[in-house]
Amino acid sequence: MIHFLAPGQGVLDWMQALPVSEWITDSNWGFPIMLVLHSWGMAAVVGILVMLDLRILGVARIAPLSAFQPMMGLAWAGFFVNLVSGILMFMADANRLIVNWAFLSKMSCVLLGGIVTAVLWRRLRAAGALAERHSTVERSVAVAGGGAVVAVNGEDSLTAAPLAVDRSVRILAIVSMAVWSGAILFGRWIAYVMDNMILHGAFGAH
Amino acid sequence: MNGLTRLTLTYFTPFLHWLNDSRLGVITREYHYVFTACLVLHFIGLSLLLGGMLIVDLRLLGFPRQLPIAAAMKFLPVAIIGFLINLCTGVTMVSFDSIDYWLNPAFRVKMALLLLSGLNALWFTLVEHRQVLSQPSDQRTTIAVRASAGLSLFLWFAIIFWGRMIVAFQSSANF
Repeated sequence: MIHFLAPGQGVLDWMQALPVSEWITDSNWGFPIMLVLHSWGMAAVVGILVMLDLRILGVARIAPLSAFQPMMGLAWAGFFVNLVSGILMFMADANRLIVNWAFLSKMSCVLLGGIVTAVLWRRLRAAGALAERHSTVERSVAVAGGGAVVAVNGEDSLTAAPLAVDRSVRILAIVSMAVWSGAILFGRWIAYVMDNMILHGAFGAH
Repeated sequence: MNGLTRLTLTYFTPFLHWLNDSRLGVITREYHYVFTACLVLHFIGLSLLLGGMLIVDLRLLGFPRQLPIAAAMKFLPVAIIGFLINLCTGVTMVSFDSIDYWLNPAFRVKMALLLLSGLNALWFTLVEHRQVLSQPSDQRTTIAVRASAGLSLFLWFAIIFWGRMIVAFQSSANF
């Protein structure tokens, strides 16, 4: 069907013949369970990353960026759930997905989203935005009451004011939100492309 | 069909018919891309809603400690925007075939859980919200607050579960 993929054909066939693939395709609950896991994982990974993007863009300014460090563990957990459920769903329908343009677009978005997030995170770290100095400040401010800016340990630079995030990081945050939305859009589209392929006989002759 | 289903159907039928026959329903059935667009937006709204709720609820449960509670609460409007997106897109999708949705057990469970989630949020807003905002960040939240936050997270993940189950339970091939 597509010549440059021909050497991989055996691998795709082997994947689809695995018992777990057959369970996903043939059982009543295999595929719905995979979709539930994929949605839960998406809620964690896209949810947390979009909150980070929004924070960078000025939402919840009083939240220290360093607080996102432990939250990233949760985003990673969500990503892992989606990696596993995604690989399993791919294996179950490998031959059709490898030529599905919506699937390939989604994979491109996920890859791009990962790269954008990694660059963004590195820049935040390099700018010192992830250092945990804010926690003590917040506490001191809370104790001082009234939210007044107070000097702590003689360092008057330590204030409850938001850490300035430079323009390039804000652009990365916007790109990140667009790319993750794209991943969702193309993810939804996979099924429609599949239906079209079936209706128009894209799998008729190999 | 069990008694409760029949009872709710009796009460909701006029509303379901009204929604189904509304202009919204007519448009959704005429232009199929409206339904498709709603489904995509429903997942984007879900990300905003769950992202916001994860930060708020986890913080009320004590994680991460370095995030002041008042700062975590600033993500609540994001969650509310996500919920409003999902309310609008959800109602639009239901208007496609309202009775069919209500006959779907997964949809009814999802709606029941949404109602519980709403009551939990209402209780939190009326009883706990003010006290939580004024409490020092390094102090542990009360057990009632933690129970409410835990319940909220549990309910939202259950709502996603039953939302996904709607298609698995679908009787008609309309979708």
